[in-house]
Amino acid sequence: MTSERKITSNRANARASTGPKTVGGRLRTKRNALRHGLTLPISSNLALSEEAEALALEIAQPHSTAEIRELARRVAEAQIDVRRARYARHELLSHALSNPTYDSRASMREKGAVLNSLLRENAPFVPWSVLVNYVTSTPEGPHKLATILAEEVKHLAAIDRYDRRARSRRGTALRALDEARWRLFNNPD
Amino acid sequence: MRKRIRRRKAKSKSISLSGPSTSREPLIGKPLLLDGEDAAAYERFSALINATVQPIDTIERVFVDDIVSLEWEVLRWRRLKCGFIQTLGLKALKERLVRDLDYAQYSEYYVEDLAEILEENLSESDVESAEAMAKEYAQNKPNAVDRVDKILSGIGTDTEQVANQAQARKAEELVQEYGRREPATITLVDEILAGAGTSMDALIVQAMIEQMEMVERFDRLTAIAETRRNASLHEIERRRALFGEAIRRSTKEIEDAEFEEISDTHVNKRKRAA
Repeated sequence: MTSERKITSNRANARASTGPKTVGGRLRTKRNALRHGLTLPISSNLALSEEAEALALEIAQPHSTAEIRELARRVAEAQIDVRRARYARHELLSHALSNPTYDSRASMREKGAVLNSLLRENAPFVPWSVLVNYVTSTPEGPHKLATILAEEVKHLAAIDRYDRRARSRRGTALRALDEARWRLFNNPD
Repeated sequence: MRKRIRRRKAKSKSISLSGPSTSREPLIGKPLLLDGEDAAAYERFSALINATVQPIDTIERVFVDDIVSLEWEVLRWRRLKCGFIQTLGLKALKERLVRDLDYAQYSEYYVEDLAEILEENLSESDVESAEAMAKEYAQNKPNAVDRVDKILSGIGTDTEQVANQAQARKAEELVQEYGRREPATITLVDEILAGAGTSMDALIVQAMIEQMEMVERFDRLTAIAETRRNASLHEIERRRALFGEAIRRSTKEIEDAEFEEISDTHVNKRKRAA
């Protein structure tokens, strides 16, 4: 069992963890929630709210009880969140894939370093065509997708967390809805 | 003996575990395809899964949509992993060929590149002799060797660089032909690799070891999609079991409502009364 001292210490530490304190830190993090918009509740977006409402109506039966309607709404909201996560991941991948000049940060740094070294005195001769080919070459095909996956691993992992949580919420809400319907089926009065 | 007799129609409970089944598409979402993926193939795949599972309500339609999209993702990651490994193999092959190609295999490109450089650097009156000079240089004719060496050093390069460039060009060409599975090139490449004591499989394995993290990333993405797809399938199974139980119970209640179980004494009494 956790000791009283440990609990007090944890609470004190938690109170101290209030996010970034410096101006730079706050500037860096102030738009975090808007990066892919997945943390924003469905209620903050009119179109999504309407969509969730429509889906909830479809899930609940026409003359259902208030409890069923509420549970159906939870299922619908979680389902919309699953879809939002799916869209966010797709958007991230397809945006990067459709960029013809997409390259990894490491590769761009390396190209910059090579160009710098060629501008120095006594730099080795490199034919112009070879140089242009090297600088403008970008990953293609499966290699491009592999580069994107490696570069965007953090963003993809964050989206995946939202997806997982939304699926978990959907499962829980759905089981609660089925239980309520089952209860109602057994005791209609 | 107990007998079942029909009695007047009683109100039966409706099976209320599922919502109404409709065909409103906006609730499902459009297919999310990457560049180059076949939308018609996706539609066919979706139709096949829908026909197999036959969703009975909105929730099942949501899960079927999930299964289709996740299975598509599984296939996508598997396909991309294969493509990635193939690309790795071809890249490794190119690196190997750049090292192991014999002069005889790229001499044609060497003469061509050399002639091009000479054309750019010879006086106008000598431009036409560039190709002949390049050929003579390749045959090691002293006059040509002296002249060409002078021209090359004048522009800050040498024959080794030209040879490397030609070798790389030939290697690239062979790799592309190998990728297209051209039989003559496959035989030639296999011979070159065997001569160097290696094989294409060995090159792929070596390249995969270097890129194991990336290969594993594809595997992880596949595994995640598979797990989620299975969870959706399981959810349909769970709901259908519940739905099946509800149907069984409802059927029994309907039958019970339709028929009344009566004891032997009741039957005998009725017979006597008749």
